Amino acid sequence: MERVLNPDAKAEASDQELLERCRAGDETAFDDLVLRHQQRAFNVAFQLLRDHEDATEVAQDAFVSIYRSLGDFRGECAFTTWLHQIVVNLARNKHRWWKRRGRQASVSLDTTVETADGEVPVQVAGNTDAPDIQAVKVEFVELLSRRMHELPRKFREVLVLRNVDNLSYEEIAEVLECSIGTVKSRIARAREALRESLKGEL
Amino acid sequence: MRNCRNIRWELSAYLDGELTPPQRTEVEAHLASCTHCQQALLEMKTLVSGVGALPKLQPAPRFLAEVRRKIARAEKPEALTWRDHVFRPFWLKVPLEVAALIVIVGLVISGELRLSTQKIAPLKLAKAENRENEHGNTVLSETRARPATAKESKSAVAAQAPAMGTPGLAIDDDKKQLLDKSAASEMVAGGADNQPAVGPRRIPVVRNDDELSTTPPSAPSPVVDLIRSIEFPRSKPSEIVTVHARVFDEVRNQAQQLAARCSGRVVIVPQSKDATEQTFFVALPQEYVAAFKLELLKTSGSSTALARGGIAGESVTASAVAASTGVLTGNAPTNSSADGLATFGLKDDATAAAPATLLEIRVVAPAN
Repeated sequence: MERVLNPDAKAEASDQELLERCRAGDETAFDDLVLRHQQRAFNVAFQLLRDHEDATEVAQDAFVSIYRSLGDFRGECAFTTWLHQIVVNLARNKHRWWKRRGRQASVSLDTTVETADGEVPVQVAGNTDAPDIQAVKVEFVELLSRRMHELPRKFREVLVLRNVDNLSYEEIAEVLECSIGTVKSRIARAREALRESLKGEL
Repeated sequence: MRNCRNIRWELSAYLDGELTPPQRTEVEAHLASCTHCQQALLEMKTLVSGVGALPKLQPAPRFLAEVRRKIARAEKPEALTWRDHVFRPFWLKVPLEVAALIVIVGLVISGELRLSTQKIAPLKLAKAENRENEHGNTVLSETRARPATAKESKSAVAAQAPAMGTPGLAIDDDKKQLLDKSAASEMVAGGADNQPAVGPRRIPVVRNDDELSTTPPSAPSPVVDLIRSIEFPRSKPSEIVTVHARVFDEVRNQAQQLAARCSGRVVIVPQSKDATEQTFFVALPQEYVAAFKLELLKTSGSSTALARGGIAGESVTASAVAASTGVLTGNAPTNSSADGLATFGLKDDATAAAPATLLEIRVVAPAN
């Protein structure tokens, strides 16, 4: 039977501590890490790829990669930075795979997801607006999501890391292995490009 | 104070709280006095909040279980099936297989080409060999390309002799032989070194293909046409007989008479006025060659010519010459090789299929 853990219940144990336990052979520590960060990894992957299945695969593969490389991680950066690096790289590979096959990803938020419990609608978290406002907001966000996906990959990456996962410029620079100045200018240009593509919608 | 364009690029970091305090102060001072930049900031806020409001999706319920399954599969790789061996990894197998295919196709094509060229060459040689064998004779062909005809296949075609001061014909010999013709005939006339002026060797076949021809094409001369019209079934290489006589016509008439009796015939070719010697050809059955030469030299009134000229060509035994001569003169002994035949006329049918020899008779005026 699958264990269901509440990430908040393990909040007291830092990522670093869980990693130490993993290296010591504690398999449950790794499960805790996965449960704590799976949504983050999955959402970043989804916003980069806009494909539920591919995002799931990329996020899962990221954790598999981390499990294999536990011995190599020296803790020079935060666990989340490491996780984001792997997710972004796997998403890039997947994107290249698409491009080679001429595939265009386009997924509506109304899409359904095939799960172990059957086909269920995509679950959207944290939505507490009134229904009419919610409808307008969903429509705009849907448009925004599509426009973001049409941006160059580099712009999309910085926007997702910054506004979907709320990483600081410094953390983004670590994930993308570039300078903070580069992140700053790239985010500014990405937002300008996005604003240009949404002219009249704002 | 910086202009709007520079400030606009700072608005993004300003919203994210990523500006240094002096930078933030500068941007805020500009915004207080610039409505355009205030509008731009408003749009930027909407955009950023919209991106931040992108739905947070829940991963699949069995996310962790799937991660575990993948880890377990990675640690314990399943036994490789034949499909894995054949088809994986694609990135390595496909290029290798394509390269192998290209190499195989290249080898096949080059092999085919080589084979086809090997087939063509022997075919051409075989054709020539067939003709050669059929004639018992090598054909020195014209340089002109022309289809092989039945008539031609029976003909010995001679190339025109190169300018040697003495225009003449050489049949069944190569060019070198042609060049040495005069010298050879002189040697024959000397008598002491009686050796075949023309050996049975075969000359290289000159193919009929234009592209393979090594000699430039030239207009056919009347002589060549004449010779081509002569049929010498299975004729042997020619021999050269030098006769010392003053009157060419007498020798020729005598040869015609002798030839008529042994079902041979005389072929007259145009002669050059400047020639120091005159030539005609006699085709006759091989077995009468020696006797014919003997008789011709005798009747040409120059017994010394026989002694001096001798016989060029194959060596003939005395008995064979005697027997043949008997037939030629009508005094053939009954036990001779031409047993039962009183005259040459009766030999026509018997010798029709026999190999013919072409003699070149040169009539040279005596020195004294």
